[in-house]
Amino acid sequence: MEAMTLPDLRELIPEATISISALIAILVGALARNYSSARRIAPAVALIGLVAAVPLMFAVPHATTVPTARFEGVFVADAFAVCLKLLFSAVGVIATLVSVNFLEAERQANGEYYGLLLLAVVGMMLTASARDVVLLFLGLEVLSLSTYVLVGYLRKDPHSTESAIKYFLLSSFATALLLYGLSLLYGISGGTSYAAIRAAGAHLSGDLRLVAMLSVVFLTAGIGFKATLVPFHMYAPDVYQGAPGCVAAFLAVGPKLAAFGALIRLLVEAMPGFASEWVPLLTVVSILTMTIGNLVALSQSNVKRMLAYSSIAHAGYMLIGIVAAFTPGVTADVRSQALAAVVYYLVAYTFMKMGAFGILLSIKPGDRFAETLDDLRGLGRRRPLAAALLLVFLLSLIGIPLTAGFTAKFYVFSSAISAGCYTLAIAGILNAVVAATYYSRIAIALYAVEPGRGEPYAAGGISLKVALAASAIAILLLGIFPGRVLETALQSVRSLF
Amino acid sequence: MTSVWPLLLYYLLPLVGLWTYRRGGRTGTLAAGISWFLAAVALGVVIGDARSFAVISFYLLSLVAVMTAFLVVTGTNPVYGALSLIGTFTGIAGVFVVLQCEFFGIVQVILYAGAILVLYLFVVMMVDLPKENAQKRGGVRGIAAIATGLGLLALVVKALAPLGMRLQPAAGASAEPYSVRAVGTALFGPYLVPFEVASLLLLVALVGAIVLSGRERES
Amino acid sequence: MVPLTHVLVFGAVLFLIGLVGFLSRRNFLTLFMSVEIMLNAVNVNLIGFSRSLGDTAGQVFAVFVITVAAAEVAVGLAILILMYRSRGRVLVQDWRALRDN
Repeated sequence: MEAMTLPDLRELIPEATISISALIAILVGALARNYSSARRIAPAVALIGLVAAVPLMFAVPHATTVPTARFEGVFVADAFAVCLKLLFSAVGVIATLVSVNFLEAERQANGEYYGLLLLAVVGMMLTASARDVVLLFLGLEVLSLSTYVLVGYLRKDPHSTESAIKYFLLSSFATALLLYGLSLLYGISGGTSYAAIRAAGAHLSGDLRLVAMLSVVFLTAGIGFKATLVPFHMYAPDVYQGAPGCVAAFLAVGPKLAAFGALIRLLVEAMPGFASEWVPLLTVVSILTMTIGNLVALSQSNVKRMLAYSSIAHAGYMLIGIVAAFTPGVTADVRSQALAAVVYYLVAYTFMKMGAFGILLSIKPGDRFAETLDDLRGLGRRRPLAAALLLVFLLSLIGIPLTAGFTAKFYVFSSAISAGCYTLAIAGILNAVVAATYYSRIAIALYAVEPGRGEPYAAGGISLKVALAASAIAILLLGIFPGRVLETALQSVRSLF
Repeated sequence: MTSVWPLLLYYLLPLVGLWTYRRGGRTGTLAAGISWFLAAVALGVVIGDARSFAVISFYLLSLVAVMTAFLVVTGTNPVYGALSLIGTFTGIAGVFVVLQCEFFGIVQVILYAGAILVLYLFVVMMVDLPKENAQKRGGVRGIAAIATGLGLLALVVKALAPLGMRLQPAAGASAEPYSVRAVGTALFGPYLVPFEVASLLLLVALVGAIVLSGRERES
Repeated sequence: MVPLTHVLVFGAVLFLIGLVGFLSRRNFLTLFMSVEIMLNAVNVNLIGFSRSLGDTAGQVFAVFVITVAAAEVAVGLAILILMYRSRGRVLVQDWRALRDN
């Protein structure tokens, strides 16, 4: 028997750092004598871990391009992975900052909360780096399991429990579908690594096409659930509405980013030979996703649900870029531009969506946080700053020029046009117009003449303000100077090919 | 090509069993079951390439698994459901042994039948679940689900049929790819990172279960 | 030896029993057990492929599937207990608070 050599695990240092800070946060929660001593330490530990991981991503750049004999390819930290991980760290930081205030208001013990949040971020990072379906699946699963618990974190709140149970059941069903697809994929490729799948896909014979198609359908179901693609979007509004507000902010962004990151890597590195199965399916799913998301959002009066449907619609827009990149016959240049547009969209989406959900946590009419349109009525007079910030996020979600949302949509739609996907581009533009109506309903309510209710609004804490202001500034910067981020996205995507 | 359609017919046995049970009571079921069973065994032997003990065991064990799985999803009493699930898991474990993956058969019994189901039963007893109202089941939703299932089944089977012909053991495959040693070496070799991630996953499950079901801490 | 196709058909039948069960039933535990059956069907597929390809990866994958199933059971049952504590019963019909109006 050959000697076992320990593989080089240096590339895992950022993930390990965050995992260790998760453990510390959990221990702080467990060991703290009382609630008040833990409540400041745990979020600080979380922030330190997330921020410390960032320089470490660059400090170990491609350390293992020297392939160790037995460790080839399961995990990779190329420019694309690092780019996504930077974004995931930002998601973690914003989610932490947004949560502090909420957990204090609900008087929840928080060590475990931040620990699970960090582990969810680790799961996201692993999916971005996975070059093997086993690791991809485990990364998604770490993310899912942590979020089940976070969604049900308010144990006394029946809504939180109900959304946890719905999320858990549907998510584990989607996992089973994903796994069945992966097992078929393993069967036709004879290996679990992306390299093996790619090799098998390069010369797929006729009688295996049907299996390939089935496997693609199941994979779309499994990954589409995380990305809230129609018809696997149904859980999203219910779960976001019932989940604690800060968890909803994370949930609307985290799993979706992970799913799109994983989808891009999977399509580029493992399944280019399956493009003829993916493209028609994703085209239909994309159109359905944005249309249904936007149309249902029109009739919502609960802002959390409206934002949930809007996040479904945004998943449809992102999918346009992916379809454009894999349309048969596009040049390598157009392909990388389309994928870079998707990455750019992910960045823009992160700040506007987390910002919009975050604002709801700074407004507390009565004893619960703002949820309905009525809660926001007249906010412009009483809390001008919060209203202005929300307006920035809404303008960006609509896609008004000079905001990140506009540039993101512009890049995605123009990449669709240069790839020749005119139907998708037109569907996207029409949808963007429809979407503008319900976002403006919120904006109108904000500056409505008659104030809604008489009670004073409780103000959010300093960390929440920092997170919201930073998100708004990021949106404006991305909207006014998009070049730098797009260039980084382009370089990161090129590292995949 | 070995025919797969007779096999599907064979797996429809639980449906027939349930139908005769509803119509003719236990005796009818028993008679129908036994005759179909014998026919099915004969069928299994004919379909299989060899009249070996392993082949017959595969068909018998897989039938047990399918039948008990069917009972799990049709039953109204969760306790019976959980007990039937033990049958499914054990049947599958037997299939793994027939397929020469003994290690996996053992893991299946220990983990699924031993650990997971005990946890199930523990919770079922603890929360005192109500029996589901039998009239409320089925309906349009149930029929739609069954139609979807049968359609998908036909599609999946049609897709899978050519696979049996094509898959040949790779030329350079190791001599003992199913042995415990091979699995262990793979786990600590190329799959070391997933293995470490699995430990994170268990940590999440541990902390999560405590957070959700633990005692409320004073704040 | 048992032909691979038959193993796969066995897996497919199990998987679809689980799928139909999940789509048609209304009891939390039955839904949960349906998912378990589906995961087992995945394992049957993986082991079947592993055997016929002469490859270890399928078995390793199946080990991880079992790990995940165990972890999900732990969290899922914790949520079930939570539900039971707040409602006193566990039926899907009760989950009505969160939906489109």
